[in-house]
Amino acid sequence: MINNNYKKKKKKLIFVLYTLIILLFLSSLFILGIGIAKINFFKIIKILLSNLPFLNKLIILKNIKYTDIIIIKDIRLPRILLGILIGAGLSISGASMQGILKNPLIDPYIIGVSSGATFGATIAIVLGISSTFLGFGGISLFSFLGGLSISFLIYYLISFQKKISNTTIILVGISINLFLSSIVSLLMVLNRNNIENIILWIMGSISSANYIKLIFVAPIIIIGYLGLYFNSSNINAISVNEDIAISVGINIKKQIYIILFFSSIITSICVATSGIIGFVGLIIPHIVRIIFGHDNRIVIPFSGVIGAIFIIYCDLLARTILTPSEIPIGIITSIIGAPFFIFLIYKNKKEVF
Amino acid sequence: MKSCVSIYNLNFYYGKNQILKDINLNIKNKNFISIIGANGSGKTTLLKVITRINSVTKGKVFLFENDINNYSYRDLAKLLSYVPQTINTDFDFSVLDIVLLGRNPYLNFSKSLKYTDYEVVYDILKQVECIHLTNKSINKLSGGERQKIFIAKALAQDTPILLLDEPVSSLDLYNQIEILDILKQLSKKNKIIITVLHDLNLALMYSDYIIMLKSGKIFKTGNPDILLNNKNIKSCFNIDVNIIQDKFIHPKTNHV
Repeated sequence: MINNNYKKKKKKLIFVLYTLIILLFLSSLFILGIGIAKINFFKIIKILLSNLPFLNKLIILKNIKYTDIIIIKDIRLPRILLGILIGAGLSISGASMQGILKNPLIDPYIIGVSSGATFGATIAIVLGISSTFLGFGGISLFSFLGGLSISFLIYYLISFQKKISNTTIILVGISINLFLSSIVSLLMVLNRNNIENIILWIMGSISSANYIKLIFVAPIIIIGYLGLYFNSSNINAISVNEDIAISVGINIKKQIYIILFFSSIITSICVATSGIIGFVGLIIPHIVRIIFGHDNRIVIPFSGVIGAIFIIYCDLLARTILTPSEIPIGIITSIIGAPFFIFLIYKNKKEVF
Repeated sequence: MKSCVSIYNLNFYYGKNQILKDINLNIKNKNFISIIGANGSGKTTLLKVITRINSVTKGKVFLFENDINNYSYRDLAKLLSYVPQTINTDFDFSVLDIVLLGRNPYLNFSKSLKYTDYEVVYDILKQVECIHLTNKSINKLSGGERQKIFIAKALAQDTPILLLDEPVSSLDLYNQIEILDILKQLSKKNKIIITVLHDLNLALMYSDYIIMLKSGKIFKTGNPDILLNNKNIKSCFNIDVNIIQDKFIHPKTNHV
């Protein structure tokens, strides 16, 4: 009876995960066709298949307009892929951050990564660095480095403590966030002609997606995901109780650094390529916990998939609501996320599962 | 027989405050050890030093005749398990998730739980009569059930030594007896139980050996019936007691 229960539960979860992945895949195909240029579902499949080796010889693209092929292949597909990566990355890093800091109301930006990245980007914009490095814009590069260096600064600041306390990490993170946002505001005041660029950058967008960006983003997010996933049972222990974690054989200081490291590389690359997309890293893990329980070995992969689905639909709204102009995706996620989050806080008091 | 825990000249400081002073201990051939003492006498700190949650400031702690600093955290977790005093978490872990944490030191690199891990955990949940709680949230349990679950987690670690910090302090009489019975049974199966207790009656009834702490120092150690007399209790807790000796009749089994 016992082994059946456990096997059944495991099978059920794997089934649900595959279903969600299929849903993500179908959603992507559906979203590819929507926009100013409406493209038929079968045409999309044909275009996609024509890019695969071997199959491409069997597919005839004669009756499909050249512009449609370009729109799918070079504009919408990289954008959706980037959206999937960013959505998954932010949710995974949010889930682990909440676990490690034992606070379900935390988002991945808390340890200063977002403000560091914004600071980096602002400097790049102010200095007019727009040259590209291997297709990776100067602004993105600066903001990635900014995000990373701020998170390293935070590790350094907390390393003086004998015993790392999660409250200290949160407080140091918040202070640095506030400090850097003031500097960013100062830079904006001093460079009024660039204010619009900076603000638009902060609001976040994945419209600038291209394959070269994907080549940078994908490996970092995949490495980060693996790093967090393999440590997810340790995140469980730490989020229950630090003393418990030590007593089950976890070197807690080392573990916290490992989790912070993987979370911050993910967050930095997300912010660097798409600005600050709020609320994803906060609410997605919440939803996953309400539905699937609090075990991080489940929360992390499920957050990834659900976060990806969430982002691609938000991006669909971002680019279709006010056509032909675009709304920054960060606005959409926040408009949907904030009320939902307040609802969650109230509901949290009598949360089930 | 090897001594399981031995401590030499242990001193422990929190910042500049000295919490433990010159502790020397050698625990050998004893299975149920209670640490008693007034609040702030260093009971919890002593347990935390043995588990390496607090690192030793001065002195040495040996487990099975090896310095604890020579063990990795993981190897140490295979020798001793610990149940802290209070555990509050904002996350609703299920009972199963909590007890499975005890298997952590045995997991391989990918941290995947094997079928046998689940088997061990289910067996232990049966043993502490909590199998019906398996899928419940830990935050929805009563104090007694919660305590049993964390003891189950410690048991899932399958260690020769169990350290418990006031496992029964916040519980009603029935649950106090139930949990101490579980611990007593374990001690009969050759596990070494080291627990902080506040109730001197319970300490007297259950323990084989008592360590009395007084302001960070070991005041006295020895057998409970010899140690717990008016004089010692007066100087350790600063209160006059009237000791009435009676036969201890177990409330559940009616055995003497």
